[in-house]
Amino acid sequence: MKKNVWTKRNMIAFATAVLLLALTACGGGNEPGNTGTGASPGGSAAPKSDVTLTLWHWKVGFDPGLKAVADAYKKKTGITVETQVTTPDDAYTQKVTAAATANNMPDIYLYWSGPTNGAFDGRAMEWSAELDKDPAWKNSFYPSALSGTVIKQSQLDSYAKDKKASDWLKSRQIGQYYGIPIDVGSFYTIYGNAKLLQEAGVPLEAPPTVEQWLKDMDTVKAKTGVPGFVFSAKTFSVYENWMANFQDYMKNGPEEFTKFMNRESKMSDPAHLQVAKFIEDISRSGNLLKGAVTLDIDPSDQAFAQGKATYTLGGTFTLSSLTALGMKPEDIVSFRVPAYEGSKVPDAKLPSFPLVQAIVTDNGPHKQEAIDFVKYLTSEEGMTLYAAGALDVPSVQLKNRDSLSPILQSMIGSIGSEANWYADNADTYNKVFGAEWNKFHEMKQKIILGSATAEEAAREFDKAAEAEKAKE
Amino acid sequence: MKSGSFHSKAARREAASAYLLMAPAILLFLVIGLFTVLFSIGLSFFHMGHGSLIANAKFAGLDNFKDFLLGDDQLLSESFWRALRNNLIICVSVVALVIPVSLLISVLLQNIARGVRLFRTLLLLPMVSSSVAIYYVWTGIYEPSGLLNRLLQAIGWKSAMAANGWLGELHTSLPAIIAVIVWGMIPGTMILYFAGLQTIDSHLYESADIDGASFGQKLLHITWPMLKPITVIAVIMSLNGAIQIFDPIWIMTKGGPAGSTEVVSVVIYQEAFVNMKGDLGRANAMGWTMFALTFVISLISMRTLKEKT
Repeated sequence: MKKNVWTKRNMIAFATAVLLLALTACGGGNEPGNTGTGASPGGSAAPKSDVTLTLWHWKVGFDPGLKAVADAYKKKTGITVETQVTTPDDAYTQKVTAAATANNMPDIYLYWSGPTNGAFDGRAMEWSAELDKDPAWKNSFYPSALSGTVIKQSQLDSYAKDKKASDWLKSRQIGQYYGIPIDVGSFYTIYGNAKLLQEAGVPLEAPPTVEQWLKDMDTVKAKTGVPGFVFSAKTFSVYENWMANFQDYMKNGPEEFTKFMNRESKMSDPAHLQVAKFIEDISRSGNLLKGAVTLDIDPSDQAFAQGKATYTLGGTFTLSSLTALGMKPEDIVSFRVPAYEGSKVPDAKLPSFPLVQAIVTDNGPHKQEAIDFVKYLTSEEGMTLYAAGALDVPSVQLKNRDSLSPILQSMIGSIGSEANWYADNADTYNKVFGAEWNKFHEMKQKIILGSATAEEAAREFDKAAEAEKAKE
Repeated sequence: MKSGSFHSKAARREAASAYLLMAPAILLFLVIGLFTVLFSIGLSFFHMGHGSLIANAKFAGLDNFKDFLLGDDQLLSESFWRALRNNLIICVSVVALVIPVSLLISVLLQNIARGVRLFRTLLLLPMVSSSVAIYYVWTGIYEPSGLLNRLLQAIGWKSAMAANGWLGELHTSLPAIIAVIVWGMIPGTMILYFAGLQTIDSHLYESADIDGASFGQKLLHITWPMLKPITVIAVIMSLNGAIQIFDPIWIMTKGGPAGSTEVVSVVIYQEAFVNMKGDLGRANAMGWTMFALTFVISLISMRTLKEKT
């Protein structure tokens, strides 16, 4: 009996301990990411610090570059920057969203570039004062890098129409920045297999028009048996956002392109029907690799690298993937997506825009140190280290590129440093993420599989666009 | 009286210590389980755009439900109803295939003299293998130049080949996915039937043998009726699994091509985490609608099957 009482007391004590432990765990800390205990170094001159900053991101390929910058920064300031990678993209989005909801953000996190992307209703700090304080730093960025991250009137108009937009979003001001771009890049790039082109006797230079490009595909197919084109037709927005929207802009010019993206012009109109017609042409001619609808982006690059198709669609970031897949740079040709015959802006420069931005948590325990690190990351020294390690085009115009690899130097050289209409109107071309374009993606797959025509796809798109327009 | 008071005090103490012992589990349930459930129900009545905070969510009333159920958002509604139809096709196919095949294999294995352990181990492999790796293997099998097309080519059935791969054609993608789901569910159901078969009195079979009953007659008139309680559980488990199916579809097709393999869980996931213009409130609303549907279907199947047992 005594033994029983003793056992019961012990069990109760144990349960109480577990309960307390659970309560403690549930309580949590209100200083997330605060792994350091020391004071701020008070500037980059301080040689030692026990402050540790946490940096979250989702780009495995970027990690060596970010770590190289972190190492150099630790040598300068003593501040440790720990990088944490979470993949794939949607797992990272979930992680950051959950952390923002729980107010448990890291000191710094990377996010897809965009004026309020990843700002989480004010969890992110606003940078305009910091940028204005340091004009040399502000002016070191590619103009298109900053213009792609600043809030403009068009964004505010778009938030005002969106029933889901929070009051915080609706009360933003023109000229605010919630992220600092760390890289720039571009889509709208066609990569070609030089060996196949030479075998078929097709010139390695960029074809002047889409019509000529389609003929080149036919030639290669006739002479080598290899289909002309592969892209990830499984992934929404690869064709729509990496090719079709830019070609429509070149064909119709800014005004008509804006009307189309704003649902004021129809895809079934001959001015815009090429968006669907191109898919029909390459599918019916057998120039699209069979099974393209089942390919994600990486498998599509892989199919191209294996010589299963003559051309593939990508961006400036695709080159490193192709070389990683074993292609020699000399076996690859690349050019901007061709314009259609009779296009209004056939010589449009490859627009560059920010791809990834660094965001500092506004209420982080080491906010100043985080700001200083982002400024170092986007300095000449930091960006050189980053670019070399990540094989990524930095957002800053580097004065000295000698330490970078030749491929990277050539990629940086191909980036248009000037801001242009297309790059400045991200909110227009980004309308390609609207619901009607999702419908087009579905119809595009049907065209490829032969169960819909270009005209039918365009009509379905128009119906969807009309329904979306009615909700505005 | 005194003794009664003593007993009631002891009982109270007993109850108190029981509650204290249960407290950690209850606390965890309240924090992780109940709170999340209630929060999710609440959120389904709010608009919450991608990248916004829950604290700033806007009250939507029944708008989120009307968007996909009544077609207030035409495109989402089309997607939802098509996905629901696919879910129902998967449910019917899974139950129609998993139950008889699992039962038949279990009975056959019960009756073979040699190699039972080897066959059981082989048949249970899908259950112990990493599902993600398995789905990638299946994706490879279904590719245009994958094993299945090569096999068909080798036996001269070129016309049966899927040019864009079995996951890339509108009419083959869903059956191909169903085959993988069925293949993955059979082992679990087989275990249930194995257990059930052990409980059937062997005298029943001996008597049937004396009466000259065939294998089929024994299966139909002894095994099947005796295993009906197991079948009820197996059907409900298969239905739940089929309604909530997500992993194989997301990994193998992401709902494509052209929505032919889209199921409601994929639509919910896209609305919550993939579509930049998505709404977490609507995603929750679809989730709860599916929960209600699953609950009703499970209830109906349980009652129907129980009545027959």
